[in-house]
Amino acid sequence: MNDVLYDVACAMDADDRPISFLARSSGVYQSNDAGDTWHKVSEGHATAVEVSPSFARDQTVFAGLAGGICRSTDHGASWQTVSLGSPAPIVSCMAISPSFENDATVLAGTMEDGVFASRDGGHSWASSNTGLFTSNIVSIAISPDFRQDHLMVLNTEACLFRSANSGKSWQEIESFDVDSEVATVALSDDIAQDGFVLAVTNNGRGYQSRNTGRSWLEVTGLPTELEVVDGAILGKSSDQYTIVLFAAYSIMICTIRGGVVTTTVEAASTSVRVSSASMTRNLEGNQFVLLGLDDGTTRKCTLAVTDETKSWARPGMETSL
Amino acid sequence: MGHLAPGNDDRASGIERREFRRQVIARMESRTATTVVHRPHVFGGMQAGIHKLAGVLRPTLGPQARVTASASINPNGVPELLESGGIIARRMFQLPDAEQNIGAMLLRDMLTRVYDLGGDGVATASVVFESVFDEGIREITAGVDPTRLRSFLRQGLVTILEELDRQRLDIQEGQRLRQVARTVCAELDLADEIGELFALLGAHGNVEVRKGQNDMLQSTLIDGAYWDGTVHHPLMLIDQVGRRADVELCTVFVSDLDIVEPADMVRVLEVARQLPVSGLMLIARQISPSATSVLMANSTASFRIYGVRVAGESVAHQTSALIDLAIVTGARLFRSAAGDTVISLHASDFGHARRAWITRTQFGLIAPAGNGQVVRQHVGSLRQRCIAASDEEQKAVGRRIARLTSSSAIIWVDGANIDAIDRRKELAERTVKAVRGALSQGALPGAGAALLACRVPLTRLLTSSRDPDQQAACRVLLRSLESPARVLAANSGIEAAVVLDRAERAGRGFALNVVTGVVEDVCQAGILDSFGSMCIAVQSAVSAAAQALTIDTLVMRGSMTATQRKRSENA
Repeated sequence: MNDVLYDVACAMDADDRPISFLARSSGVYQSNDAGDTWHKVSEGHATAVEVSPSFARDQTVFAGLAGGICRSTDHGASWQTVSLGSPAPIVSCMAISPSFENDATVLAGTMEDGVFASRDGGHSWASSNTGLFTSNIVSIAISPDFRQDHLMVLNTEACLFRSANSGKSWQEIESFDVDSEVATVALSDDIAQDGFVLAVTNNGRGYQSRNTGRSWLEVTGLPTELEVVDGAILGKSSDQYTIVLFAAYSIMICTIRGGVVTTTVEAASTSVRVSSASMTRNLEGNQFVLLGLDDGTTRKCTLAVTDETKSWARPGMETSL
Repeated sequence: MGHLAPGNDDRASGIERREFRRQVIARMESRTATTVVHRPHVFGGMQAGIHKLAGVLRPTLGPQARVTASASINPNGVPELLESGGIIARRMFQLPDAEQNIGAMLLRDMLTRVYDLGGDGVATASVVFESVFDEGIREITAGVDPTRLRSFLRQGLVTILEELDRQRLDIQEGQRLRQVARTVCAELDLADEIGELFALLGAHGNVEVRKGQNDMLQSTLIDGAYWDGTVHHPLMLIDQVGRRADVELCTVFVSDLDIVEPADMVRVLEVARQLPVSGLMLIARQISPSATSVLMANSTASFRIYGVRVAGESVAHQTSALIDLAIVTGARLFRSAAGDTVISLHASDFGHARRAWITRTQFGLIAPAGNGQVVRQHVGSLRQRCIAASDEEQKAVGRRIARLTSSSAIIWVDGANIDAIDRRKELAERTVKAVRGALSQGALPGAGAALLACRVPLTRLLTSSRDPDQQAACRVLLRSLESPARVLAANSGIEAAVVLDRAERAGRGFALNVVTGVVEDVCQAGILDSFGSMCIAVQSAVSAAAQALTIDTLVMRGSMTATQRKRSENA
């Protein structure tokens, strides 16, 4: 039976070295050498994985299983599993609060059972579906300013939902009405000031909001027919945003100003289709990127800041298994 | 007058029968005797009746809840202890004096409508009505034409409503909702609980109030959707703990069919068995005893089957519920009116839900598997319907949206005894109505401040008007707009004139905070009223009072009172 690779996650450890995790149908795998080698750290059919934003201090990792969530608080050495009830939900995505050290908030999206939330660092979980009319969760985006604004955006198979109360209830973003599925939703690091939210569909159409998701405008100039898997906002300079799009066979870096794409750079490419991506920033400000591919392998690269205007280099793709 | 019954002797009984008939007719005529009162005597009795009822309701305006004891209909019954202005008004059936009764019943009828529509604002409506009526009488006595006065009062009402709309505050966050709840409900724990629930559920949220089983206030969010309904046979739940069944991986058959033939039930079960599920919820209008037997015989521990019917006030409500069920589960709706039968049933016609639960009176679905886009479109169309719908339809459609978007909650109210629990339940329901209204329509500065602010445009209208009747209407309304603030001050033992003067000097949005005893910015102090309730109260009160001022003649059943007889003799 194929060992399917569902998800990847990475973070910087206390020594500013990338540590990575994979969620595979055979279990959870870990790499301590920037993805060069991997070893299994947990059994079970893992379908999602997420690393604490404060991993360097709390060494916490979560993995979604078929029917539960497992958690490690010791750098992956040991794992505890918590059941999500019956019938067993299949976890499709996870998101950890940027202020996890303070609020211990973690969310898990599932394929058929909606959202589960933990407010105690993963010890206990409860469904959190008030306001939802669909149970198929694609991804969850949490505001970088979550400690103040308690803002989350939920990407479902039907539409986007917004929560301003830490996921306790959700309101449909009625103004976001597109025909395609949304591949990624990303919130600006400076969201308290600019309210900037980016959503990109899986066929490469982009939309931006300047009021934390209440209303949207289409972003013009993105590469046409780009099959997008994931994305993120790399940075902001004046009123210009730099975004990264993890497409099926490439990594694209675009700059957006006033809703128009001004530059597009292909940072890396691969011959095998990308199925998942994760990114973490080191102390130098460079982004370590880990890609999961359809053939079950991984690729890594570093997106490096080249100059003061934060343009990004094209470093090529390194290979790892 | 003696009572003579016919005797047995023919000739004597004929005389007696005629006398008996004469006495009965005289008695009937005295009861159906009609008393007519014309102007200028129309208003005296009416005003007294209005004052009586308004006087009973005035303490309920606040600041603290006052209790009214209402005698039971049963002479030996325990008096009811009431705090709600709407309920108190409903208990006022009839005053002994016919003229007073007309006035009181006019006021009562208006207040009942305010209570039914808004839940809150009865006391405000009462004091405004009383004031408009009293001031209106004064103007009519001075020579103002009542019909023109009514017309100008209604014009002035438009100005008031426009000014209230300008002051409207949009509230969504929990703290503001709790403040609105606290204005209606003096019991802070209950008010805060309701405010928090609506902060989570939103404007279309459905909060059901139930009597608690223990002495704690509790609330719970309902995961998924639920409907009122019953099982087709009580034996379906007899072996379930607490008469509640829970089913995982449930398939759902949605219909309004009458399943009469056992063969039809067999057909449904055979197709359902093809699916990888653990249970079947069969929704049908009727299931015959023989078909029920087939159902019960095939229900096993590994494949539970429950037959339920959807409840509803009308066929239209039931049909709406079935449509929602079909969409949210992804099922095909089988309708008898469309000639659907189970003969054409396929496995793809079933809907699905991750979990289902059934009790004797309700059933629910958790994580139903309907197509998200289809559900989204359906919810969107219901939201559009809400915009232009009547109040009743808004409530019905709002409940549907709440079910479809998993936005329902139950709050159990507690109390020391049954009467206390009943009172708390009524208070909770009234608070739920007011908070929902505030969430969907907004809030206003409370403590009478919003009405006081309406004096500015009315004063402009007064000074710009050249018509004496219009000026009179403005004067009536200006005085009436102060009445809630006056009553609040009086109830607090503070001189009303002083309060009004300070509020006017302080400016817009300022009124007496009865808790602190200080005139301050009421919004800052968290004193808010529901916009919808206030508009209903003011509109109803002014309209009804304006109409009452045009009454020219009273026609009353029964003999004249001594006062009426004397008046007619002197006329």
